[in-house]
Amino acid sequence: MIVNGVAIQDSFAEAFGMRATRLILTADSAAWARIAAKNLTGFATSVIGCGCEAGIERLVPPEETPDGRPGVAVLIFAVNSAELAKQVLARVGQSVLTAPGSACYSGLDAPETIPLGKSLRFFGDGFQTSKQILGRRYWRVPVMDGEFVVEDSVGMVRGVGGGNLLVLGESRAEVLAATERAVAAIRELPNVILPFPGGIVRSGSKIGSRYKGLIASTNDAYCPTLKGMTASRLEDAIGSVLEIVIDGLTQEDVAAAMRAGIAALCAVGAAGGVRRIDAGNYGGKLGPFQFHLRELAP
Amino acid sequence: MSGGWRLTLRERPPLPIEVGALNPERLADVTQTELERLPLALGRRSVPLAELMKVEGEPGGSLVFAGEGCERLDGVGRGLASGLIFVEGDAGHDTAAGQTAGQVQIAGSVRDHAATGMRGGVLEIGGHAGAFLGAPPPGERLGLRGGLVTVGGSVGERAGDRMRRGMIFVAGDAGPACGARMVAGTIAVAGRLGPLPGLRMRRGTLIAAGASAGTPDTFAETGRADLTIFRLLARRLGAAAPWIAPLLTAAPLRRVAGDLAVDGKGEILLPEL
Repeated sequence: MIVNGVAIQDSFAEAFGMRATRLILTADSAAWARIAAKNLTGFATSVIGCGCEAGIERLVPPEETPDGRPGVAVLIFAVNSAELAKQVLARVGQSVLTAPGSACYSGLDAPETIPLGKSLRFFGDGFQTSKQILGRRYWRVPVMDGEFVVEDSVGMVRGVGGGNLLVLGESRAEVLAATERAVAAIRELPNVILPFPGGIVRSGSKIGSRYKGLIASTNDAYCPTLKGMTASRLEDAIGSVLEIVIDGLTQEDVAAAMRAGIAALCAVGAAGGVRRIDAGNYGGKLGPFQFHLRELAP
Repeated sequence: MSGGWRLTLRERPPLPIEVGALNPERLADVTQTELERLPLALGRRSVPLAELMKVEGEPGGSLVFAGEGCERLDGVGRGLASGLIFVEGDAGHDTAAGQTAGQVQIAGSVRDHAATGMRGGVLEIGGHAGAFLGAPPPGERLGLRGGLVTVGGSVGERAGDRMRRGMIFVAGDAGPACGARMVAGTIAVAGRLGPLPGLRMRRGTLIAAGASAGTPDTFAETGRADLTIFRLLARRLGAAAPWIAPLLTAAPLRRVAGDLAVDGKGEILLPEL
């Protein structure tokens, strides 16, 4: 299947079930809300090494936030509810509680919840108080610039992690430019995040390693410098490969994001240096979700 | 709220009538004849309802009290768990006492002990409320334990006495000892507070837009309060009391904390001196 000169591989992305939450961070200015969000979602690219995958979903205008201040919505994904609770507590405690003027609210109404303010309140050393407003409890923790307001617990849902696209092209510059356009298209959509730096991964991995103790190592089949030295999956014309990893609240959200990404890459086309779109999988044996590229093509 | 009964007083009752047993849920399965025969206590006598009120309507989600003399109806909405009760005038004592859910709307004023022991739902009073609004029922330790009470006029002494949770919004003034012995919850008053507001309050928030007669000496000044929690309150409660948002989000209010004679985690927010 070829669209605008771009070959769409007959392959699929294999994704996994995860636990997810959405937080709404607010502050006195949009800039400080972004600072808190960037710190909270920093070092959260992969559950393998970071404990969770997190990213900024969107900026939230004051008229949509619980306290009427500028806000940022972040999504956080982890492999199970206990790890999600641990990561959320640690990250909010270190990155949001500490940010001037910040507050943190649940961004999901869900039957299942994980504790947040319920645990963070103890920072108040007995001076903390709570306020229940229309059935929701908020903790007020005294801090040096006033109070940190944090919701008692936050909603948790079953999400999908690991949707992905591999972008194969002629040169590093062309592939990067095309992938940036795909990232921009995906970021227009709700309920998804791209947890890697700038939404892009250059170090795609395979499971296992020749070294003991390493659970993942470089995906040699897609490394251009290893053509001829390994079972390469790259044709001669391919000089660079980048990957986009997508986590979403539902299977449909991930599919929509992949569809938008593929469309953007095809719009760039062969003229822009994109030769092929592929996806990473484990032969369909590990992940319960499969996203077939040709079904998502424009 | 589709359908419901309308009970119109035939004349002003000579004595107070306890109508706590009349609510949409309990009257959902009765016929008009059964309702007309329902016994009501009038002093020491028991009289059929139809002797006091004209019955119209059908079973449904609402119940309306109308006619001259509604201020003699005690216990309107007592223990209400669902549905809507509307009074087209004033109501008597114990309005919405023990209400757990649903909505009670009083077009006029109510007498003492409204919302006493209330745990949930909404009580809207168009006029004034007497003393002990949201206070504990006799013999109990806690007052209002949940729900939302809005008062279009002023309230008498000890509004919110020992309240544990929930919100009381007063568009007028509050009498003496408003929020006394509060355990938690929020009281906002658009007008003035009477003497000794928040006396012996342990936690909770008391907000007044108007000048106050002064706070007890056992409260500590904490300065101007530009706190996020008040923006949150303004945002979430603006629909219930439109006057509250500008009060909470305009110029920072003066905040005093106390009552330090007890737990000391309560707060009173007042306009700048």
